Amino acid sequence: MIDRIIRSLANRTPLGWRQLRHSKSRLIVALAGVAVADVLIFMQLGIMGALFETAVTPLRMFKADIVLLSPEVRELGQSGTLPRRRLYQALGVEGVASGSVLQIGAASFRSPSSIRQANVMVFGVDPDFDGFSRPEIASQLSKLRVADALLFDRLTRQPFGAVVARAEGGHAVPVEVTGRTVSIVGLFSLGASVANDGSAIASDQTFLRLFPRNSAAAASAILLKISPGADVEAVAERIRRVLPASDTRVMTTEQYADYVKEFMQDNTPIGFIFTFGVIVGFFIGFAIVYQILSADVNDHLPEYATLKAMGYTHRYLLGVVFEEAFLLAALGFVPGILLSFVLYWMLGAGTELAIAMPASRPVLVLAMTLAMCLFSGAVATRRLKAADPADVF
Amino acid sequence: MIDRHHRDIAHQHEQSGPAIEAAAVRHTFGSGDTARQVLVDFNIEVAQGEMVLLMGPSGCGKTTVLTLVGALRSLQSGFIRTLGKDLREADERAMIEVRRRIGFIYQAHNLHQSLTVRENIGMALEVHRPRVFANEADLIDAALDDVGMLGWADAFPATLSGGQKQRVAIARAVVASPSLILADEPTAALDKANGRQVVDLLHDLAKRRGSAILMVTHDSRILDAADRIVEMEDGRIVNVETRQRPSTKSFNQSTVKDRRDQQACEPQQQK
Repeated sequence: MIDRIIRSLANRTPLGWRQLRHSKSRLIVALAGVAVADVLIFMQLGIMGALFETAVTPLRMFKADIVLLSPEVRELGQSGTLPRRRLYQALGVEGVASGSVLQIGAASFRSPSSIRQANVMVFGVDPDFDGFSRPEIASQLSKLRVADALLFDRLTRQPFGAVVARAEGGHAVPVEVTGRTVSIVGLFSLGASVANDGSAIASDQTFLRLFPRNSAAAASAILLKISPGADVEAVAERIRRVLPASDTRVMTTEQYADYVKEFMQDNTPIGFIFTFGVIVGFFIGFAIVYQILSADVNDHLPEYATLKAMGYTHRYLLGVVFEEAFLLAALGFVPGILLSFVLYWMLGAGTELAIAMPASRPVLVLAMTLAMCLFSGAVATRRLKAADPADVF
Repeated sequence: MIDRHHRDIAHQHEQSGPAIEAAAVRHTFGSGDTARQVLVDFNIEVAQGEMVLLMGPSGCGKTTVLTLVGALRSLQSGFIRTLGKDLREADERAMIEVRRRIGFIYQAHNLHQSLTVRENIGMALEVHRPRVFANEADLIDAALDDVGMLGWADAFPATLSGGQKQRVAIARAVVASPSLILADEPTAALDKANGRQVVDLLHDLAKRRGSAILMVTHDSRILDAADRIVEMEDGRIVNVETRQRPSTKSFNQSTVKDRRDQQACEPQQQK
């Protein structure tokens, strides 16, 4: 099939493909090399993406279209505060249907069965708030009307296994938070993030008791829902014109998610480490493909010189090497992505990380693989200069 | 029908005058103290349809003549006109064009191991693209038939004997009906029977297709196949012997018969 495709596209004998196919062991090593490099790149991007996603996962709990934050915003829980009255101003903007204040703070939770502590992100909401996208949370909000009651993330990292087990049995489980005893009255599933071991949801009143430095007049974030049929970008722009940029930043939910990911990419070691891993993967692939192509060119020098003697141009020979490079990229990518899907699934199952394969990632990695192989081919073609047609006699 | 195709191609390569004219050619390898002059005022002329053997001890400059005449190497001094093209001022593109009109045969057959016999021969036609021959498949079949290898068209070179590979190399060299064939020791790696057969084939094909042949050889067993024998020593021609050959017709009849006899004795190769 590859024979026919190349013949029809290039109108010539598929010499590069034939040479690759002729040396099967070399072809297998080359494809394995490209696949390993691709897996390495996929895993780096996958884990990095999953870690970034954990920073915005809490926001996905809410049915918000637009979020108002402090201009000093970094990520949820580290966002500073903005005046609560901005909620009422925003509600007056055309296209805004409803809104709610969200309080966010991080606190150390101590399990009664252990001296170890966990860093938990606490969300303070109005118990009448109708903005949770997850039914398991929305259905339990009424439990938060009781003072010092919390809903707790069952996926919180250890040592809260025993606490979660008791709460699963329907018991109110006491835990100590910043020196105050509160009760876990229900559970939900969210998962840990880079910065936090887990999450909890409290009423706004309980939240202010746990974080006395916070003020009821200030909000960590304001979540807005737009009217059905309204254009979210247009509504956000109208809000921006109404609210002062000095204390409020207006973003759509997706803009905020992208902003947090970009912030983490550029300002945290995670971004650097995994980007470095991607580069390492690229160069490993480059080195393997270069070795293979270079050895292949070397082995075929007399044949290439013969072609030159027959009247083939140097450009034709470059085309043969690039044909090989392109085929290695295309054929090596297939096992690379298939193996990556399996590893994503295994990693996700083993770590609770939301490791996903967005549609743009295979396109990116395929482009990188092509660049890697064509770059290798370009370097390997330097050896073609040694193919002197006068030497074949 | 095949002959008509051959004529069509030959017409495109048609040119008047000798296939090769070389005069006062000098060539030196290296420079300074290590410089070594391998050709000294070398002169030769090969007419169309003529088969000339170039003989002499190793290092006397025979192969350098082939590479210079074949536009594989740049001319340093003197004059060479190959197939009507003056090589003194030929740039890379012009030299490539000249090469495309020449059939090369090497001591090592230099077939592509990853291509079938048919595809190897097809490469000699493909080099002329975008110009496409009317019936490439027929031309290849005819060339293979001429060298007695039609039954091996889909075999890979690794499955062929040395003699068979050389015959495929000859088919590759002649398939596009080149006006000139340059051969370097084509019988060196072959036994007596196969060597003789290869030379007879070459002579036979060259006469029928009107190609000139300049062949470098040490093989004294094939001298009778030549129209002319040129002996070289230390970069110079020291002797030229013009041979009285049988007529083309009688030679062709004898060689084809010999070839069939030898094929009948040869063990069948597995494809």
